[in-house]
Amino acid sequence: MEISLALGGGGSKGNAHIGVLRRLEQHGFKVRAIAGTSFGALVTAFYALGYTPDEIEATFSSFDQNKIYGHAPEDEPSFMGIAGGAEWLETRLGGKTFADLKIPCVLTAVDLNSAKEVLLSEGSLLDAVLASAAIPGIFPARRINNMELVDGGTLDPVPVAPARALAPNLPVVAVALNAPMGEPAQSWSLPRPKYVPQSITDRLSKMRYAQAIDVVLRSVDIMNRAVSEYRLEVDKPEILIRPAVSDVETLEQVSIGEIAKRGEDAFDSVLPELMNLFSWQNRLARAVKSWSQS
Amino acid sequence: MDKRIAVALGGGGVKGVSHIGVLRALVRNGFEIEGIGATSMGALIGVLFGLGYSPDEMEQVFHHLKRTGYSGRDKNSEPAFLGLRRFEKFVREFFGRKTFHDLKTPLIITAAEIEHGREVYIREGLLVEALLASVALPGIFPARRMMDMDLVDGGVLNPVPVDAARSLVDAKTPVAAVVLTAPLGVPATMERIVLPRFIPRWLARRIKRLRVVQAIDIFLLSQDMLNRAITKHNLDRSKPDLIIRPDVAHLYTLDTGYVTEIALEGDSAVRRALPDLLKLFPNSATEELRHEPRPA
Repeated sequence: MEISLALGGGGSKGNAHIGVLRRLEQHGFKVRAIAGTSFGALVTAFYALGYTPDEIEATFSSFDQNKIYGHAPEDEPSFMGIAGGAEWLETRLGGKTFADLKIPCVLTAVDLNSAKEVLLSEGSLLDAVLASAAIPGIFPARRINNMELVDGGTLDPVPVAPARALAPNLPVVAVALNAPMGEPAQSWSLPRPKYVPQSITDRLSKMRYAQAIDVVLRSVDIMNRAVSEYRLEVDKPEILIRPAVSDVETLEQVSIGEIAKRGEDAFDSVLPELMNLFSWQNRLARAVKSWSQS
Repeated sequence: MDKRIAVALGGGGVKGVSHIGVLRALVRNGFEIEGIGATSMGALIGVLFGLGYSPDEMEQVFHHLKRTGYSGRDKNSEPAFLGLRRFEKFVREFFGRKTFHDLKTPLIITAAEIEHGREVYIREGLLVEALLASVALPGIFPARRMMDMDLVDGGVLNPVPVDAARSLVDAKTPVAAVVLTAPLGVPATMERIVLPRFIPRWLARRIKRLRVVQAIDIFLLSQDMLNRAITKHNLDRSKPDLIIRPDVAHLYTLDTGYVTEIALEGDSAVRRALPDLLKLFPNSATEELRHEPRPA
């Protein structure tokens, strides 16, 4: 049972991808191609390098989430920076390129200057992951080939079309982490440095500027969800998995295993639908379709 | 057969002044505007048009606003970076207690409900209230509390409300969408930080070199892109019969600009679109007159 996979962005929510991958393996599905964006790109890179879902979970859990932020001297400007995370990733992905991957994959980013989606499929894996995960303004944009790249989720939160392009004859299983429209909009609390007491951050968040920023972030959230819905409507993945992670904030510190478990639960609820895709009738239909197109 | 048409007037701050020229050119070319769906600055133009103001009078309104400015914060309003005190004062005085009933052209003003992310149609009540909700650029201007909802700029979810315009007319009447943002794939527009004029240039240069400011800049650029993506998807889905694109994408949303010149971009855009526009009316008045006498 072969599929192509599209792993969406969503920061900490993205740990749910690990659970989805684990269940796919347990049920004997073969992932023949993956497209990932943002946190989905991170999981994609590890999985395509040959890490098992359990190894990915253990690797991510070994990282101290307090150390992710910070600015490196040569970084592009950003509010939080991701120097700590980048340094840690370097120890895992440093020197690796797309040529080292065992599964064909693309990571998506967006070029700020041309306002186009960019598909990264060659060169340094680390650079590609960091570009794909560069939440605009929060993490530094990455320069690759004269492009100024930020989070691919900006224009396409779940890269279904790239996943289909990688394997046109396989069904696409998409994992979307954004809440569907109609659920309350989410702001994100930016992580609080340890030395700032809770009482002060509470007071800061009551300031009118902070509240104005809150309105901006909530409207960004609904815009992102709107784009996500439109793209899913147009690109129509064969199977859509939506882990219940709307309570998890993008930059929240989480228990990796707990979020991964939610990916498993979401997978279980679509399993009958997924099995049905591989009924002999549907296999035959796909075979006929690919034959008639070739 | 008359050339009846519905228009969707999109948002875009000062770019919206070009709607004046679009409406002027449409009326001049014999089109009858049967309904307007509008958001943000498009909503202000829609209200002015519906109340019967001429294009010149509309331009005067914007000349006036350019002099007084729009912003200013108010102690009692919802939190916002700039606030809309001067604009609010002006529209309250100008439109007073006028309601949607006073409009000669049916109008739907759209806003976005921010809690659940829904597009909201406003079609009755005080025009002023609808306007202030529709122009509330999130965070920059205060959100409006209306009908138990927090409303912001309708452009957040649907920058060109084609479906709203279509809902006002019968199925045979074509809908033209007036789009003010650049398509995707075109380099980023000028949505970058603009500092107030009283800051001397040497200081402005230094401020712009600050890393925090550059980070905000990148955030705004990506916002602009997101907005263009949403525009594209909405247009793909709502399929207007025609898209009119005034050449204003390079203007900065919160600029005040050259009113007359921007309005003229609207006239030019209609002129460019006119051949396609006339194709929507295969038996338009001119043809009819030539071939058969018009029924009395």
